[in-house]
Amino acid sequence: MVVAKRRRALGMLGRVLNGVSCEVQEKAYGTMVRPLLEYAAAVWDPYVEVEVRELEKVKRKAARWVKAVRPRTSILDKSLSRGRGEVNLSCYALLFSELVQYCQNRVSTVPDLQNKLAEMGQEVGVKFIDLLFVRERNCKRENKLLNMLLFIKSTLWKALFGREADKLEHSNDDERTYYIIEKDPVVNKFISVPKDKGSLNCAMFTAGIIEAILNGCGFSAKVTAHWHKGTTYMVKFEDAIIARDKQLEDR
Amino acid sequence: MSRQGTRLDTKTVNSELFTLTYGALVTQLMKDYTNVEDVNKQLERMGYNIGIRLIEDFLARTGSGRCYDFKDTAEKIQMGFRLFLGVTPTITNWSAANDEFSLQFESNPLTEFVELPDHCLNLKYANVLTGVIRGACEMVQMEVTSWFAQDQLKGDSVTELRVKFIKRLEDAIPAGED
Repeated sequence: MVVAKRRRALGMLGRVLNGVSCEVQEKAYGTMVRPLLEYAAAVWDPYVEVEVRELEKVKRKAARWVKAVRPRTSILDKSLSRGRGEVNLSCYALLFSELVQYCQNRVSTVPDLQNKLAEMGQEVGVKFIDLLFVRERNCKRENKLLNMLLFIKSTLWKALFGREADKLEHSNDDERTYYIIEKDPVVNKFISVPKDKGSLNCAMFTAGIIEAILNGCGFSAKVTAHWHKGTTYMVKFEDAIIARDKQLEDR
Repeated sequence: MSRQGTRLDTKTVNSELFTLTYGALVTQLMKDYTNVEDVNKQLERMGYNIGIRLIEDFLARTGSGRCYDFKDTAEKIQMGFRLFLGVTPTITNWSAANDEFSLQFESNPLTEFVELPDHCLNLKYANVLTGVIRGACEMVQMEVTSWFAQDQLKGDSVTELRVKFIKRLEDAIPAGED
């Protein structure tokens, strides 16, 4: 049918011209779809009401399309906030609880749930890397392992939770392993773990944040959260990272 | 929510953590659902769950009593935004019958750092707020509905949340049943 043809033309335009300026789009619509819409209108005379309605729909869709991609002020045009904003703890606790419940409904085992939480945390962590290094460090990243860990323990923790993490420890028996210890993580504050899920620690979310930041900065590591002296985040670096760090130290 | 001691703590968390956590949640929903409308619905439902619990907190903190009229309610909702999100929306555009008003936001901590890609233009990013308002009001025997009339993420100059009074609920209905 005629209408279908026009709609196809518009769809094609939408795909090809995604992101170009709106003048171009308006012109493109004018040259490519409009003639199809009106071509030989006298012959097939859209007098049947259904047809008229269909045609109007295509036109409206076009109008929406042109308007929708109109350039907005980009997020990069805004200046970076100083990051002092605060929201009420209850708000965050309830949001986090919804997040945990949602994850829980989509998985069946505790390890899966923890992985899912870590994934969500990673999403947050990736975004925090740039935010923090631009704001706090003048865009300079750390290249030494210990400095990186200290950065996480102090700067990151302060930015996220308003205070430093309680402790940073190096494992005695494995040089690849470090522990960041926090007695009372904010994400666990209002969560009571059911008895049958004793090993569940929702601070895996925070572990995900840490992991994403370490990986994003070139310190590949695996981070997990455990119940030990409150919550302990176990950071396990890859061998290559430890070797590289030693090389840096030797120089 | 557990209450420690008798004093109500007014603790806060960094708003960026809040923003990004919400962002991670929305991203996850977008991955899990193929249909944007389902995401909107899910966000509203989560908001509802938050709302029915947040109202307790609001009443405890402000000690406010019953509303005389819907204007009173509007002010309390505004106060709620100030209390919980640290933003003060403007109340405007009352309908003639005084049963509908708008909350206008200059800024919204939920949408900081957010840009909608062109294929998500139907996503109501901050739809959780409509759920929160519905849930909270339902707990104080009021049925309201709300929707976004304007959205900065979609190129409007302000974000406008329209709230409409539907009816008074005579009997308090337990959450989760209808």
